[in-house]
Amino acid sequence: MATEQSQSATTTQDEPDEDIVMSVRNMRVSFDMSRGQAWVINDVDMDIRREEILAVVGESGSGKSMFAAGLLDAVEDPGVLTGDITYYPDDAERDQTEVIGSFDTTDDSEVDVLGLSGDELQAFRWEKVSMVFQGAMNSWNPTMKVKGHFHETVQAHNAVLEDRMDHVKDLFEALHLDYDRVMTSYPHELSGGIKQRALIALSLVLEPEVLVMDEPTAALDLLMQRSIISMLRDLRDEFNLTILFITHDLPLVGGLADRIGVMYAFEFVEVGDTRQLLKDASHPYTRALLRSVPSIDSDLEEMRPIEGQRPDPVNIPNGCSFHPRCPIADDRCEIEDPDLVGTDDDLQAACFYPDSARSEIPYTLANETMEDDR
Amino acid sequence: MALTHMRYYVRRIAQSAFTMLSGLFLTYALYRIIPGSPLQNIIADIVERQRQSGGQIDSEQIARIAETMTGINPDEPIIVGFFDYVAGIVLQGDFGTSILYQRPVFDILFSAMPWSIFLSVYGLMLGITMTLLFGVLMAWHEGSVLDKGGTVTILLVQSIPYYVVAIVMLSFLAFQWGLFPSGGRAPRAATPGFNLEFMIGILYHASLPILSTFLVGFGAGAIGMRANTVSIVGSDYLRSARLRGVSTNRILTRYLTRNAILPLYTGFVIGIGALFSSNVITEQIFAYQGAGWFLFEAATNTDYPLVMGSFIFFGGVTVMGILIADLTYGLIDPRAESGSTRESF
Amino acid sequence: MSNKEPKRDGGVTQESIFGSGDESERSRSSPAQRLRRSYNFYLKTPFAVAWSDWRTRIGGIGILFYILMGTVGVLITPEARLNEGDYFVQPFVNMQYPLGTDHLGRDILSLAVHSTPAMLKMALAGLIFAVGLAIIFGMIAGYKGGMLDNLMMTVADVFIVLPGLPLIIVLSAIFTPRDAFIVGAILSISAWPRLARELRSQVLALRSEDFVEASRAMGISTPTIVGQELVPKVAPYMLIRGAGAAVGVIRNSVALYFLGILPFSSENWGVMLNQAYGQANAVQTPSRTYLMILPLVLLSGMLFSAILFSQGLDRVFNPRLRARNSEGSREEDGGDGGAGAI
Repeated sequence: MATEQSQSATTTQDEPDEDIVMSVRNMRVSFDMSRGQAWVINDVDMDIRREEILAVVGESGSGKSMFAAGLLDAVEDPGVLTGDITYYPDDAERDQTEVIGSFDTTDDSEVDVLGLSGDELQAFRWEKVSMVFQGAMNSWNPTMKVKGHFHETVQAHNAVLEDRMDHVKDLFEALHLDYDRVMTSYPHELSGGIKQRALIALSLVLEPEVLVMDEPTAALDLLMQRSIISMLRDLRDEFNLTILFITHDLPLVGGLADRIGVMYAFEFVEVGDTRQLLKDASHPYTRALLRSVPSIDSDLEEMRPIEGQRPDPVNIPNGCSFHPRCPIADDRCEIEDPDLVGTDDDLQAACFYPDSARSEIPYTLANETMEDDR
Repeated sequence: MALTHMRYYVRRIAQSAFTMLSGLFLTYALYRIIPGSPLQNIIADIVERQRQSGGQIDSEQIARIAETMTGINPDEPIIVGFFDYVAGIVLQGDFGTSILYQRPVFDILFSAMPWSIFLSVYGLMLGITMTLLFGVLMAWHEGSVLDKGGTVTILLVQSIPYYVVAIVMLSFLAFQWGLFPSGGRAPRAATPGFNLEFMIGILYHASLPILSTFLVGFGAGAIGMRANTVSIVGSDYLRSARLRGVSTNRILTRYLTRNAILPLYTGFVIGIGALFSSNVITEQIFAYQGAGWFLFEAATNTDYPLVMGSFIFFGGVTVMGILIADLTYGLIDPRAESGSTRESF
Repeated sequence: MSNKEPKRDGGVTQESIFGSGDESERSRSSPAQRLRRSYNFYLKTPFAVAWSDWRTRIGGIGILFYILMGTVGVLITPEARLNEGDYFVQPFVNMQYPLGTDHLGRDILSLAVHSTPAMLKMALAGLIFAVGLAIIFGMIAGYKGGMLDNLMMTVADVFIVLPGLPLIIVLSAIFTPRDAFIVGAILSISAWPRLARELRSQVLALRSEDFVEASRAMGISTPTIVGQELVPKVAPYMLIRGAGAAVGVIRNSVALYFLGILPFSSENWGVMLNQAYGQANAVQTPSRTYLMILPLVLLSGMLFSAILFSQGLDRVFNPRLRARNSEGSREEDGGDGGAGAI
């Protein structure tokens, strides 16, 4: 399994680290298809640190959305989710006398998410971990006003309406939304950007610990994207949130995320500190990915797409899943599947030859990707 | 904004009135100009008799006799005749006199209308409730026994015509087993009025026809409802509601039913017109003297004024149904803007 | 770079961004290959898909049964003659008249069988007229738009407003049609306007799609666009709705024959019902009820088959299903959950 290093992405310990709010072990999601069994999440381990912003980056179909859904045990039929997903409420939460909603964590130091009963799961979702889907446009009931959505969510969790709506007022302020106007509108009367921000507020109405966001900015224009990114940072600081941000757009999260996890072929191939990863990634896929990002600053010859085609979940390659497309792959890569291994301070990659990767696959990162607008 | 709304309403109403008039004109013209039409036959008949009696053929006299018999003056050009007819209605409320019954058409229909409406409204209410129930539940339990069994049931209901069921019910339940009355609107023995015996009697007599009417509307709507609901079940906002912990009950009503109805709503309201029309057959089978029954009698006995009058009634119901559907759609679907490119039929 | 053959090389996902990649082969294949491909596309695959769905299978068999009855059956069964048997022989008593005889001593079975061609003719006429008028009005109005559109739709509206059944009754009373085809045509009057409007909606939606704009930009003529691009796309829908119209025509026709509005011209089930009701008093007399049952069952059967078949047709035209079946793989619904959910 993974080797241990201080500040490593995954740790195998008996005692939950104060740092970790959710941990995932041996996560698998499979679908039975007529042509075979499809593994859309292929044995994934990951730790999510408290109050970090973790970006999960990958191509379409790499499994990122599945991973996000899995954290809430929300993988839709006929998909089958297995593994260990554990939630660690922090001390402050355990001691708190006032509980928002019905999920009671006063006694537990850890919660086995996949083992929760129906009612417990219903309470767990949105009170501890909530989610913002792709496509804010479609997450709203077209015949119900925005405030209806908030009210029904609060009522479903037996929370105090007035308190919650006061909290929502604060959220709206942080998200630059006009409370009165948005609340009394129907979804179709609002623009995409407003809907997306209101959706974020809706996901935070019960003050969860963890917020999972699946491509929240995909359908929005660049300016709106940027402004939502900075709002997210403010939200994290103000409300002590942990954010899991799923995207295919690597440069977008360069300035936002604390850590980045790169997914390929339904598992993580590189995880670590954003700056380190972007400056000098250690996995061939990551490096090739960064090389393919169009940028005004780099030479034309340097930018190259990754050759080959993405893997089929029914037919995942033997050995290292990237080897068919990897410029430095050798025989060992065809047979053995590398685990995540530390390659730097806070960086891990699933590759046997990270140094080779670094030398063989050069790239220049555009300045704006490294921009730090913290 | 309100002004454009008003303009849209006015335009729609004017449109409806126009189509209504056009339709009426068509029927009016048919009666007059088609060779072999009742009017022509009557005229030929009169002319023949006059000739035989050796008298002069007085066209004015012919016209007068024909008019008494059919209510139309054959000398008048069609357009003028039609105009007269409409003017008579609008200005004097005079729908002509029924040849068969020798009473004003208006009186006949006015007293018969409530009975037809009674049948249709109850049948419709039953039909809509069952449609919604079936449609939503079947979609919610998609693929289950309930779903598959329900689909087959609905298919059966759709393929056995309502009048077949009516005949069978009449045959067994009414005549052979005597469980239900075999005809008529009300029990003969009871005195008309708001007394209990009469009221119950009315319901009793109406139950089989209402059942038959209900069958008219049930089948197709349920399948459509199910299809719509299925597509909503797979939608993002439903998934979001489920993840947020919203109760199943609320999802079924506020999310599924409320949204699945939208495409069907217009069809529902327009279907009211079709429902009324089917009354013609139902009422015949059960000897139920509603407006449909009178239309039938009028048509088979070439009672021209009564036919026209019934047409106005039925057409009017259809037109109003369409109007109501169009104008109220905006009430149930917040996304609809009246007067937009949305197809109203 | 490795040059050994890997056991699994990662394969390829079914979709790639720029199409399935086999279009490049099409231009270089021989006419024979193209013919085989057309055959597969237009005949074999739809048939395979249709067969796989229980609804089209059963419905199709049903329809076939009725067609057979109307053609072969008519040839086999002798026509019913007056007084060929005793009056009111009960069914299953005398094997010469397996389903009994009526008030005129005619064999019920042969009456029923010989009624079928008339019913089929009516259905066909209804379908052709309803769909035909709908296509003319709907497609032209939808595609051309403007004044023509307004005019045509006004005409359609007038017919929608005119109460269908009453109108048909009145027309039947005036014209007393005898020929089955004409009856079918008259009965379709109430169905075509709704179809026309629906077709127009579809055409309106399609018209604004990119491929139409592209075709126009390329200078392709209107009839070609309508014929080659639009018609195939609306054809499935029209077929299904047309079947619905045919069902309505039969349903109404039997009702009208039963009520005596349509004149007796040939044997048909409605007439049988009418005679059972009027002459034999079948409604009130249990021993005579069998006279009503056979036509009712036959009628329901035909409607059931038609409705089932048209429901199943829906699936035939679902492209995803066609692809699965043409590959030859067994498939049940929901099998592609994986690709869609990622």
